[in-house]
Amino acid sequence: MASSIENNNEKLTLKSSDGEEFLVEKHVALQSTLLQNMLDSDCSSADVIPLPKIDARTLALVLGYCKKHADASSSKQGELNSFDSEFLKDMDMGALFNLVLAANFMEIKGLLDIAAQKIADTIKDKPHQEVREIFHVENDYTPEEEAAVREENRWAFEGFP
Amino acid sequence: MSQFGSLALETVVDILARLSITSLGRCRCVCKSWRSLIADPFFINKQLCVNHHGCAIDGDRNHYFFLAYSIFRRDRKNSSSRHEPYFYSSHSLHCSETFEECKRLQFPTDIGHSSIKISSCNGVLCLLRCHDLNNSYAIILWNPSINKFKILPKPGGQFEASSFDDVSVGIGFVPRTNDYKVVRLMSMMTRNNSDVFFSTQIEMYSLSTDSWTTWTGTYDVQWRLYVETTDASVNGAVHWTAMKTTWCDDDDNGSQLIVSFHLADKVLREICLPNCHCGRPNRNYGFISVIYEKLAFTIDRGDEDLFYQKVWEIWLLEDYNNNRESWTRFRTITMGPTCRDMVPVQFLNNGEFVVCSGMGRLIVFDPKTQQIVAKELRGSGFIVVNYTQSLVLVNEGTDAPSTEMSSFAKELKELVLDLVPRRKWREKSLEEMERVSNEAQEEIERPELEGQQEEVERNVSYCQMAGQELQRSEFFGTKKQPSWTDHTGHRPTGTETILAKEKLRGDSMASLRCHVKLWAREPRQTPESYSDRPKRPRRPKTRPSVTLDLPLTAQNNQTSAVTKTPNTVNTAAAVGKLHNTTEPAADHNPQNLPTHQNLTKIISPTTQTAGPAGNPDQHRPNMGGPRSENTRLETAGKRKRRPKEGKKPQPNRTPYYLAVDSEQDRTGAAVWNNGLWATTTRRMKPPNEGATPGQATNESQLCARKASGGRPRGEEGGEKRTRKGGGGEGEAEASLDGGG
Repeated sequence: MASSIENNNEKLTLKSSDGEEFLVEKHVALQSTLLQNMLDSDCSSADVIPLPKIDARTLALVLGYCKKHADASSSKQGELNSFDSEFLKDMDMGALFNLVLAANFMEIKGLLDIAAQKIADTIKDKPHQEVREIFHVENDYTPEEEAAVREENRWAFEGFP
Repeated sequence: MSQFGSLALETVVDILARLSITSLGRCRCVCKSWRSLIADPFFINKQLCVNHHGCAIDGDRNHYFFLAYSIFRRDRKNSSSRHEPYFYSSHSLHCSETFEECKRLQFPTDIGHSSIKISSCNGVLCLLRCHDLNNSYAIILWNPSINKFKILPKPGGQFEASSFDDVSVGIGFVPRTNDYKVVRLMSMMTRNNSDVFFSTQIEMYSLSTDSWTTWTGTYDVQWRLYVETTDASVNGAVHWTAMKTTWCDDDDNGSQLIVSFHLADKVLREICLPNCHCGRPNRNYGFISVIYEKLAFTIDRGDEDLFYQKVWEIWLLEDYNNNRESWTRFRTITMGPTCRDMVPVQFLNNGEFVVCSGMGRLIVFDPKTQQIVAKELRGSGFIVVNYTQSLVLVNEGTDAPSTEMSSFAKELKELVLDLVPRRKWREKSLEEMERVSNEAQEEIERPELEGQQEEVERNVSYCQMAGQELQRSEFFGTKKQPSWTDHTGHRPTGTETILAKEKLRGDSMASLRCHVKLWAREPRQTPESYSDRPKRPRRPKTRPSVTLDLPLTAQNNQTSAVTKTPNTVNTAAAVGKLHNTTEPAADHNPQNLPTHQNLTKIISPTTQTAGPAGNPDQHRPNMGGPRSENTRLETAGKRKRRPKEGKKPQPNRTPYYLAVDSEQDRTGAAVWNNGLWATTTRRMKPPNEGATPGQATNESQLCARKASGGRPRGEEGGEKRTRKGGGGEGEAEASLDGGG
């Protein structure tokens, strides 16, 4: 990619699953290991990179995160940390899940860490019935089975209401 | 829709991997696929990776350290009796915090009266537990965070180690096969004419196949593992420290080296130590650990004889494959005057804190501020290992007993188990042992002890310490006087010292302590006699405590009074009572006991005061059944026990008696552990000049010494015999009977 080295302001076009296109600067896109690998292996000959798993709303958030971190890479870490916590502050669970999925797909480690940790912190003290609701998981245990699994993991319920 | 609801598997894994272990345990109840996901080796590994690299935002890092220590001081080399209880208490502590935050854990199996070595990897502790008397040992994997354990099958190696000290274990993880391996390494000494060789047997256990592989004799080595080696699991290999068996003076590298066994390649390797003048005579101890995923070696600089500080160096092996040159000095630790004698044993948070032990205490030291960061912990035999929380063993392990059980009750249980004679112990199957311990447990949960276990524990621990101190001072013949005397200026005997200390600590608890001791100790038999003896019937549960009925204050006063004038001991009465207690229906008259006439002669008293012989039960609580042996009288120095009819007198080496039955009979009121007591009784002041009991006591002591090989301390000579379950003291008694 001789051209990319020459021109730092080269832009990429990313296409979300619902067809919306985003124009991003290359150094922002490089926050994603996936895109970085694609560029390195020179397979970005197509002008538009499709991201089939990510909808427009999530992609906008992801790119916002990437832009901040790319621009601020030399600035203070504390500033980034406060940005991170502010970034996720009022996000609903659905958006967070999408973000985790997108971060996983695009291999953006920092974003994956904070988003997944945010969800983990939300559910860590919740009883499993509530966790089920949050994750929209169907309970496929019979009551007896559930009791048996609970007994099997008794150590986890010690001191738990 | 995937099986994980609306979410992709990766998303769920990413999120769950950031949960704590207990949250994950609860999440297994969410649905079937979550349950199997959370127990999947891939997920377990992922969880470890995520947590180990500290991705948690809130700083709630997943670092813990595990600490095992014995409550009682126990110095194996100097200890005269191997029958002292050797308690381990296990704690899990959040690192970088004070000991106050510790959570008490329970070892998954009984480890009373055993030595233990612990190694740690990915949240699994590998316990090597040994019963030092019969050299049998077990290797147990234990994950304290999920309370699961697994007892490993017996390795198939040909050689058995001659002693526990020659065995070392280490646990490690092989990422390639996602498998945990346990390595057992034994050094064996073989003789060829006058030459001594050390060869090594290596056995490796694989958790995935649940089996051992053995390599025997293929490694002839020039080293021998240190007895107290720690192990470090890093770079896919397990490491120990070893001592060269061929060491020449011009070797600047000292006599120490590191031995590693690579788990995947199965290669035994020797790693040279940093070129740091290890050969200097006054530096001899180094230990290995892991800092920042690198092998670390810590050794004291040893170049200064500074009385006010000691400097330790930490070296890191930067390039694992090219050692010697790649050791770099990571940091030095300067231990100031307050902790100059403490020895670092482990690092926390990658060297941020140092755990040091020594002088019967454990501290956490911050090298930067030179401060002790945590409240010090008292005890001995400290073992500190780092561990993280993980789910390893969630499938393979079995549930350990609930942690809710009072750990003191557990310790007491161990004590009781320990009293089962060695031979019996060996013969018993595991189930049988379980049954015995359950019975013991029932006993422990008696109402008298309810709610007071903390107190009892403290007292037991305290008294043990006091006794050891006493014993030590006696052993070294120190001139150190006990720090208290009574109002007449009389220097108290050991018994009195203990009792006086107890008095200071509160009579009720002390007497409770006596009770616990009394109750917990049953007489031991010699192995020979053991099989002949009918099984002891279980004592009734309603048996009241002996000492609880006696106010301890009274004991104290009377004890010192009697010890000063021991010739008032009514020995005849004592012998009579002795018979009575051994066999309640027997005649009290000593004349009817021909085998003991000699004995009676030897220790017959000059003065007879009105003893309780006529009414021996006057002050005694109702003792049912054979347990009443516990109230046998102890005369100054030696006890006598009526042998079985038509048999050679059987030695009985259990001097744990409370001998306070009446006002005249208080010779040495306290009850003590055999080894300790043997010294304390001898130490008791002989009676005033001319008093026959005193001479008799001296004579019997002389005999006892002769019988035990002429050593001044009966127990020293008796130690070997003690191992058999009989005792030096017991044999001394037997010979006394014959010779008198």
